[in-house]
Amino acid sequence: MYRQFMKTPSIDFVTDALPHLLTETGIEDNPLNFWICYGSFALNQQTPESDVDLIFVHQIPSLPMRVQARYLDHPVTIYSLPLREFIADGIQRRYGGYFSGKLLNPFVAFGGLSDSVNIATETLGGFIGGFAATIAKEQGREIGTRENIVADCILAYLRLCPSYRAYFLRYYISPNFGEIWDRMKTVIPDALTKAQATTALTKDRFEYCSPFSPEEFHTQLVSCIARFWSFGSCCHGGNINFPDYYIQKALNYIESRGLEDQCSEMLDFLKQKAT
Amino acid sequence: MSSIVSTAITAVQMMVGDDASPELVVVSDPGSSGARVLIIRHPQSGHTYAVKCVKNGRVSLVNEIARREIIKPFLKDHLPEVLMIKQIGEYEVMVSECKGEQTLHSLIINALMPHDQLRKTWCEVVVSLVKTWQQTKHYPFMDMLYPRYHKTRCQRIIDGVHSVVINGIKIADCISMPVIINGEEYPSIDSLLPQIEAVGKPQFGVTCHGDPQPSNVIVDRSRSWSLVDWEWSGKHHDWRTMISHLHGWWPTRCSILMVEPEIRIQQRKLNINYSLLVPSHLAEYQQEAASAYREMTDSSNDSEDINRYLATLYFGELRFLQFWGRQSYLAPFLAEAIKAAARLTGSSAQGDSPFIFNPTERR
Repeated sequence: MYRQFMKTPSIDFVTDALPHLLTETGIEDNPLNFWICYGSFALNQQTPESDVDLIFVHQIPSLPMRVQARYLDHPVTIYSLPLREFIADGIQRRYGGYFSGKLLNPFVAFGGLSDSVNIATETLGGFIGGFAATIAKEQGREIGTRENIVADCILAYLRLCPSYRAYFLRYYISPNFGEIWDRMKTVIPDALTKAQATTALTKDRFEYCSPFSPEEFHTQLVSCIARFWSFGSCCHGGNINFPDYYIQKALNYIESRGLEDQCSEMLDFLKQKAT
Repeated sequence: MSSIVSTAITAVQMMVGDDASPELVVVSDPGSSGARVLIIRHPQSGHTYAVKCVKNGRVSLVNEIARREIIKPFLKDHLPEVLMIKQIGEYEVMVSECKGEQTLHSLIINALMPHDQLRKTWCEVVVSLVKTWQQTKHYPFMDMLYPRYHKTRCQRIIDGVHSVVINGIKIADCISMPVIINGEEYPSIDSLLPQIEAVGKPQFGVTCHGDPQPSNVIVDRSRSWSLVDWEWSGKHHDWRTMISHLHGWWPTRCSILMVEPEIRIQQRKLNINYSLLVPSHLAEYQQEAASAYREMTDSSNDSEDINRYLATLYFGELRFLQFWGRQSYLAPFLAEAIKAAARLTGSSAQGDSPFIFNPTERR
């Protein structure tokens, strides 16, 4: 999906790591299993101490779990879950987009069959489509360009998770943001179309299929937020403070680097792209 | 320092949720990660809390808590509960229950409890570790998943050695010179450093706390103990590294400098003269490492690799001595690191020393 941003040494690093990390999940190898790498490694922005962030989608019926490991001195975080649960985090939003929402970020899929990437993007589209449609509707739009759709999706996700601004800001201030944004303009609108959240009218014009009613929007929003944080707390040692920690840590990224102005500029950029 | 104290106090106030002013009881020395642990007492309830504060930490506290979960099934009764994790300003903060205000290290150094009781506590700690290793032998050992991946660790240490300055002498400038230690000639540091990398693989990997040193053992008044600092906890450990820590911690942290050490460059040789004393009663604590070794193996290769890890440890300690206010130990520890590495090449005497692991002689 975003493989063009991940340079060969990073791809090789992750490819070499996966067979070792498989043992950490306790799941048997299966050609249908696939991995999704997101975070700094996917964009080649890693440092010697960066975490490797992975989602591992397998075939064994079980509950999603977070596995903390190390590989060649890099901390590794793996979210390991069966395909059924991964898909359920799309249109059903079973985990509030805990997994599918991560695919709004640049990611690269490893292993699995050729349609693993399609499964991943369809899951993303299923999750975010209804929210993005509602954001567009608030702007008086039912049709959007590729640029509109990406901005709608990011703004929709910011309603669910306001601290996501700190993550998107990393892309926004990176020197190759233009290229990242261009790639998002391909991946995200296509994901919504695959999930039948939009219909492609032309190559660059899409019609949203099913925006939420205001009541539905509120209910879905609240449900997703609750599910997201309850799963997050569960897989972080049952710690009830996890949401506060996560939000504050993200915002601290902005404050400690004095990025408040760039953050405002980024939000204006997204709003402008959504009109 | 004051910002850490106010952060820790704020964290306890947030957790307890009242207006009482918590009191600072004690602040730990910084660990190798730069983290500080503060013991804070709530004045009304009298409860104490351990507050760990990290700024730009090597490992996020969230990951450290996840690592605690890995060792929890084996050390359940010896791990404090985590009560809260928060980001407060620049600090990641973790509040956990405080099971005691003293570490085994401070109790031993300050002789605050009878020696036989402290020895018994250390023995219990080591027995628990060995039990965990025996229960979790993973076949085969996977070095790439090793939480203390040796190759990267060695590189950090080698970089650290290059940056050490002792009494104005930059080690990087004399790294290729032969070294004269107390009158005896040893090979140059750069010829010895590859020795620390050449460690063999153990027969199996084990689950371990990862940094089982007396500074990470909290002891309460009833002598119950608990392990803190789970940063390195995980599966796929090389138990021999752990033995090297159980053995090597005592001379590195408890030795006494008898006279001011000398270090100088003379005739293109690095000269170090020093005299270190490791109090003899500490040998009894070191014997627990030998006992643990005998529980795990009968291969002499393992003993050799433990000494390789010990040389790694001594070179590695050079980076941290200043944090512990032990700068004056730089020259002696560099000398002991050189001697330990030279012994691996056969260019040093095989004699007994608290810095060398020799389970057969100590049996």
